[in-house]
Amino acid sequence: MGGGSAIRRVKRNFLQGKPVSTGKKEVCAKTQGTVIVFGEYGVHKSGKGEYELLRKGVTIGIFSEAQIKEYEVLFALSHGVILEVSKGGIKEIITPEKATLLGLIAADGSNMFRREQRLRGSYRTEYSTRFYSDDKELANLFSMLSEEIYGITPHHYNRKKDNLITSVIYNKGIFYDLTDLNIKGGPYEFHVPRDHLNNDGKKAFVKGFFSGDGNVSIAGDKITIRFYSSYKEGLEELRLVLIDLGFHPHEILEYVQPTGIVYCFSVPREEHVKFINEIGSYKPRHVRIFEEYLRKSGYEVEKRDDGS
Amino acid sequence: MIEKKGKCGLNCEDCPYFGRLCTGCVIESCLVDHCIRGTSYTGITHPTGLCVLRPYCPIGGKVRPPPTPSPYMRKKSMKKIDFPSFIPEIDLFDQKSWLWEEGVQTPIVSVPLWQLITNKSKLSQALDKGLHDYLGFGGKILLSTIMPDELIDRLKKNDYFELINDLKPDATMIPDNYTYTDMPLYQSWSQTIKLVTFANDFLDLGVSLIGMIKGANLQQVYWSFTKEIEAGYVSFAMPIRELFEEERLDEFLPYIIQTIKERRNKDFELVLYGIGQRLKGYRDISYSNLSWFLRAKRGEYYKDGLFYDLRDPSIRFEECYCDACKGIMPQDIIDLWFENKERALKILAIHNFLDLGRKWKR
Repeated sequence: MGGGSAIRRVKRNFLQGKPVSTGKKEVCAKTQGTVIVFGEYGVHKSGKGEYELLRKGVTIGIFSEAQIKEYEVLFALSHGVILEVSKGGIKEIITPEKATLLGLIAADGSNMFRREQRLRGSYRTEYSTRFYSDDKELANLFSMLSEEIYGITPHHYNRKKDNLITSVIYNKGIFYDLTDLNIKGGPYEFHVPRDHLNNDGKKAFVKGFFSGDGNVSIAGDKITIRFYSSYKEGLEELRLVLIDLGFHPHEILEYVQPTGIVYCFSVPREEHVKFINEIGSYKPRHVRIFEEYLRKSGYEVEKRDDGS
Repeated sequence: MIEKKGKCGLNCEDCPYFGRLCTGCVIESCLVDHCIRGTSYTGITHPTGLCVLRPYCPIGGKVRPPPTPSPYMRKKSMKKIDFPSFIPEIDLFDQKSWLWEEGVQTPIVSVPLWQLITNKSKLSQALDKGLHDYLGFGGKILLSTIMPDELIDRLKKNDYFELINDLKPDATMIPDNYTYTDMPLYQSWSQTIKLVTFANDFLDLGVSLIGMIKGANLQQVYWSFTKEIEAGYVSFAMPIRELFEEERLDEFLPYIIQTIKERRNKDFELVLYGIGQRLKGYRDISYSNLSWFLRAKRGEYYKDGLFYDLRDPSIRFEECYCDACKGIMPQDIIDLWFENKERALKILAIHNFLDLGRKWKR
């Protein structure tokens, strides 16, 4: 459409447009450098270590940092997104930290706006992103991720009767960031942004979701690992993600409960150790059960980089 | 009054590119000026070694592309297309937005050209059959040329002519351009002249034309649409999403409407493109957007030209008697969403379309 401010345009495209102090200038820096080509995309690296993203020879983005790998170049954008350039084109990939946050919200959160009528026909709009949990550790995790990704600390509200903690971010930008990812689509829906997740992101998303809406039940020495939701389509998407990660989850089953229909699927018994080691959970109760299960089964507990 | 020396380093009184068309740099937000003074912006002027504005910068060291000369405008007698108060845009990739297939009456729809040119197989089918047969729609089809910047530069005059002659819409906008309020005026003036050149070229087409109202400042907007008026244009489209989001629409729109009224003696029509809600204080203008459908997909419900989440307590339990809802309330749509999402979405989308069309009646 090409109107308004160019800064807003690059914010929309590559989450850029931030001001940087570069000092008064009388001459401009010269550019020389090498070009790395991926199909119709090229990455030009200047002698000063800056990067230009080209498509068919035309500049579409400039960046001060990049990670160059054999088959791809990665540019860190803001709000937990990485731009991946490869032979397949360009793709926005969500970082594992953001994927975890999205998983938590998809399971036990909401992303909504409300209108409040004011005098003389005007109105006020409240944008909120919420996470509900009775686990203080999960509420703290949500806060930590929100601060890391968006630089915003959620408000916390404790409900005394059942110790439910509601963590709320009141921010229009975050509301629209999550809306664009379609994490919470129509009423009470959730979706998995599969196209924007690499393997690490998929594991992180599933872990975040499982920490909210997952269940581990114990029967003697055996455990059952299940995912629950009232929204079947989202659960099907989650099941596909597990298949992408090499799991073979059981089919989705339907249960009629007094509050409505609930859907669930379980992870096969023979893949429990793989699930615990590769995905796991942040929920303290799950972590205790998993550790006990591995100990009884004669496996050593693997410690991951995130401390779980 | 013309500024003596522009921030691009040239003498504005004797500008070799635009003559007296550009009165000189008056924009405080010019990104080139900011960078020279010490503040660069990531993705545009930072990293500084790869700045994309070098051709327009007095210290950039790159030669600027030559501007398009301003055309001599021809004139053609044109009739109004008769815009209704709301022109729904459709999604060519999602047939659920093709309202007429659900029996909904609409005299006109807007079809986005960019969707066709980014999908070879759909383009090929549409070119073979023409848009009316391809869509199975008997009403008027308005071809929207509004598209992302990277597509704008791809198409030349002959490309547009071939496309329009084969697609056979009833009306077409003249091609879109990009004019950013914080980019050097050289770029936006070049784009504005290009817009007017297209407006002149398109007079050769045998299809109803819609002028485009765009510009990085009032001067560019005024110059381009007065050129279009001189050429005989009576129907106009103005993309306003970015200006609306930046809360700058009131800087432009009242002046534009007043000026067109004076120049055209009130004989004109204007469609605002790209926002999904009614603007207060503006009458006798039409709106066009895809919001009626996009918001329905997200479970958002229109009431009086403004959208709400279906669960919003202020509307959740209010009955609606439009032809889509027939007495149900948003809570009923939520319940239906779980039983039969497709049906719920249809009702919500048609409700949204009817609300946007009804509430903005002239």
